[in-house]
Amino acid sequence: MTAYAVPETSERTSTLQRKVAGLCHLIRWASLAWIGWTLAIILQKWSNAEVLKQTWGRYLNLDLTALPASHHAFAFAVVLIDWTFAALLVVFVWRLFGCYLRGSIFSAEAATEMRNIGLAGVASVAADMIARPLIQVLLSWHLGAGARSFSFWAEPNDILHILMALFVVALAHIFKAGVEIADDHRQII
Amino acid sequence: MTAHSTTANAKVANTTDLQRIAAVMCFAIAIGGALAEVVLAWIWLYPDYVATYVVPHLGLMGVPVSLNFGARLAGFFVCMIPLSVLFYASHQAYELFEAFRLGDVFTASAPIRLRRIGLSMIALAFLQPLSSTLLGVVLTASNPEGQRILSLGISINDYIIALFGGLILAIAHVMVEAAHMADDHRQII
Repeated sequence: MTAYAVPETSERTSTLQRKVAGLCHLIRWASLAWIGWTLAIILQKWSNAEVLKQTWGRYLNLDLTALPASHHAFAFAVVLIDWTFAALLVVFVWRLFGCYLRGSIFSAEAATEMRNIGLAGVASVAADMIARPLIQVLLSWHLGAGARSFSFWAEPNDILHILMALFVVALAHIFKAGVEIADDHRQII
Repeated sequence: MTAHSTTANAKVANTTDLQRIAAVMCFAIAIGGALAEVVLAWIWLYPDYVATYVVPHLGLMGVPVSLNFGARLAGFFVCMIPLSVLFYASHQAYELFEAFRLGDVFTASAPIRLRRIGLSMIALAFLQPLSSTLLGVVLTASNPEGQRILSLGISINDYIIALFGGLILAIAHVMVEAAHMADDHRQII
């Protein structure tokens, strides 16, 4: 039985590779489309100062018509930094599915990339939660101490996204253990 | 200490880590699910909360909405449609991690549960915009003709959930292979 185990396993891996290839390409390009879409929305919303003042003014219930350009620029920078965390997530998604497409499916490298996706997801949600109050402060700073707006909050989606990211981290740990078992398996045969 | 016993110790530590992570995930999933249900019921119980948290989210600011008991009850049940799918996915995730906690890692049921979670998340991504559309209809149904709102929009959040679903589906495929390898391993030993 052991004599046939190696070719059987590699054959199974290549079948699996063929099976998941379509899904891998789809997820890779869909994640790229998502990050591009997000950037397009950010640029559209933040490049027009007048629209931004109206939207955020309504949202914060403040008059932001006198918002200085420098504060607008700082807040915009915070949004872009927040976006880079999401972009990092896409980089790891791209790399994980790159591993799968190369046939490195059940490997330590793939397990590490999977863990990185989960950790980047947690970091991305945390960055979001920090960026929101920071943007509020930056946009309302010019109004003086009495009118400055600051509130830290978590949305239901933040909790869902953190759970999703932790789910991936937990799966990555399980795969890491699985890869170690597979390595033992290879050593035995 | 021999190299063999060092590896064995590392593996025991890894298993303990895995079981600890699985226990934390079980707890987080159970708490997350209960919290989601309580928050949803809490919001729909009070018209002020619906006006503050739900109406702006639906883009109905400035539109007259009906927040009487009947409309809120209908709204609650509409929100329960995607939430019940999320509960199903949470239940599958709970069962998956419960098995991991008990040390049943690479079993035939793990990929099945992962596939169910992936498909549920993809279904959720479609149900969320549909439920938002239905909520708009429910909250503006008593308005005079011409002021009833029927709008369908896809948010980035729905897209993220669909991407996550795809990611989990791909991991489920890989998990099938892992289960086969674990089977081989068991047969050899």
